[in-house]
Amino acid sequence: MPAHSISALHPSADAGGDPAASLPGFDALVCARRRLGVLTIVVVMVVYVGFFSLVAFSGALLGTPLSGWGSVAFLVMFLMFLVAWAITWLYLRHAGRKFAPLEAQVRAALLMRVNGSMQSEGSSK
Amino acid sequence: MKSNGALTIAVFACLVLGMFFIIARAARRTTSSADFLAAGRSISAAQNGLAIAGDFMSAGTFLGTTGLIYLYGFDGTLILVAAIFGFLPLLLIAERLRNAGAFTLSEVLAKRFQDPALRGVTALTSLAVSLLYLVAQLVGAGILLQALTGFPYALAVVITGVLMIIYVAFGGMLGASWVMIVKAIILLFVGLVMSATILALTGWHLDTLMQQATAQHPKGLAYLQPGLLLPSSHPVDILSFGLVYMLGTAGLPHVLIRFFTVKDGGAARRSLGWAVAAMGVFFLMIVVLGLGARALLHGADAGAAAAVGGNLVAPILASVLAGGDGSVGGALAMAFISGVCFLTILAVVSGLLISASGTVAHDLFAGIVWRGRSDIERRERRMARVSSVAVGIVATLFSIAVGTGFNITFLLGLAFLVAASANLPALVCTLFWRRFSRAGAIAGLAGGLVVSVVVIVLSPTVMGKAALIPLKYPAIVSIPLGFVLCWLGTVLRPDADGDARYADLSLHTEIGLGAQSTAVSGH
Repeated sequence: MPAHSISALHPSADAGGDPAASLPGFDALVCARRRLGVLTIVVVMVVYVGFFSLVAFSGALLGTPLSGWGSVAFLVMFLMFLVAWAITWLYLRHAGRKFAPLEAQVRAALLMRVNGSMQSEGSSK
Repeated sequence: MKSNGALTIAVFACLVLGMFFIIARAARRTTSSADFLAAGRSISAAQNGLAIAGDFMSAGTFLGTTGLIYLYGFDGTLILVAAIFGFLPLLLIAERLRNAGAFTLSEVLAKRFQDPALRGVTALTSLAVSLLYLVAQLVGAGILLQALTGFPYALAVVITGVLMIIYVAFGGMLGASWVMIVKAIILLFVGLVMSATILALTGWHLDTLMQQATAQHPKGLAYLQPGLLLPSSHPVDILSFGLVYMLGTAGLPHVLIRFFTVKDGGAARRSLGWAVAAMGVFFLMIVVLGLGARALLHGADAGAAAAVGGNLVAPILASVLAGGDGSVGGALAMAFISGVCFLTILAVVSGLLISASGTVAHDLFAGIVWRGRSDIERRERRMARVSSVAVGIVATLFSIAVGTGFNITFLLGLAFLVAASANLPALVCTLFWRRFSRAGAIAGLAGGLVVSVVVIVLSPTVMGKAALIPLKYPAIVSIPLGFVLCWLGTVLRPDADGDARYADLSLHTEIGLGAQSTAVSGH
């Protein structure tokens, strides 16, 4: 995208209105990203604070020896790595499928608007 | 176990020279300030993921955490869980950070608020974190190099500092990134060979490894339980430890600026996948190394490993695995691992220096002092290199001045505390809160910085037994305070044009409007 097109879309250049609001797909994109973000951060924090709460307050439970894994503590610690990988993989998969088409839609709409505004600039000269 | 000084220095020299080739190649491709500060946005998602992982596959992890697991068992692994979970909140912001089209963390805030005073405050907190972290790493490098080669401390710090300055001043972000990527691959390889050897020696049974390690530890079964490093008598402190290392990671400027080096938001997002995958594999290998060292090191080796805070466990283990004291394989392995550790330190301090000098050149000079001038790009190009040399010299001299007696835990603790309590709240509010105001940002950043210093000074880390705050890791107090200050400033002094500015930022950060054009004009 050429640099001059940005100023054409700048809100200060666009008298008062919210330039994004009228772009098709923009609200859907923001909404999708926010929904996935909130879900992810809630899961991450619950799992993480839960793990450290276990370590802090239930040391005895975690200390139980467990054949094959040494202790419950080590098993849970290994599981934390699996969970971290799983959350990352799920987030990226979902984001790749949901965000990319919406982004393309918004960009296309923007491009049309820029071309429109450039034509009107050209005709007024 | 004694290391062979001459052999170690020869390996150091080979690795350092090898990196010079990378730096020279990067230097030829580094012309504009976009090249210098953000590698011309040319790093791929996989490369950037490895570079991010490389920041956390540091000497602190390879040597420090292996040592902690060797000494304290389960509790030593907690820092690894904290580090990998610290990257998950970044899933939400990596893409939008890159889309903002900025070169520094302060510039992201400046894009929304366009206020020089605020930019100064953001630059200050970013600089504080990067410099504290840099000095801590340089002091650690000095101590380590001293132990590995027998050089005096001051000489060791000067060697590290000078090489760091050369790498950064010539290679910029591109050079620093490639050094980081190459050393991350070397470390992954080293970790793989060492952990596979350990597992082979214990019949590929995790259980056997655990049993042998437990049998060797004076505390027996407690080695596999929580409580040896973080006493269960302070449960809130354990929780707070978890919070500061997770949320601090998400607010470290030298990590966040890596998202600016890729071509677009999607690549920034995907680089996290590579980072979390590589880091997870490496961290699990570190767990095996720590347990393996406990199970396999006996007698004099065990004694030497327990010295220097457990920091030499990994090289000693490598030497034993390759044939032990007196053997050619043992000496070579020890020298190679020591060399890799030095390379790791160099890569990490170079990343920190880029972050600190980028803030000086791009925020303090281009963003504030030279604001509105027409020849900023030309001036900044020179200033980026000048400031990397200047900041590098200051940090090196400061590291020599504070010396080996200084408490590195305090420096690193404060860096993570400021990152979690000042940088992160302001960044999160900037990206996600429509009403967030200029005053709120200044209150959150400046207040978060002050609160961090105050709580750590009042904690046992500085005051010892007379501490007014009984928490060794006071993050559980300071992080919420950082968010409260952001809120308070916003409520007391809202912005009149806040909605329009937020809409503008959203438009840019959600779809990367303008971010691509920066990449094009950068060449």
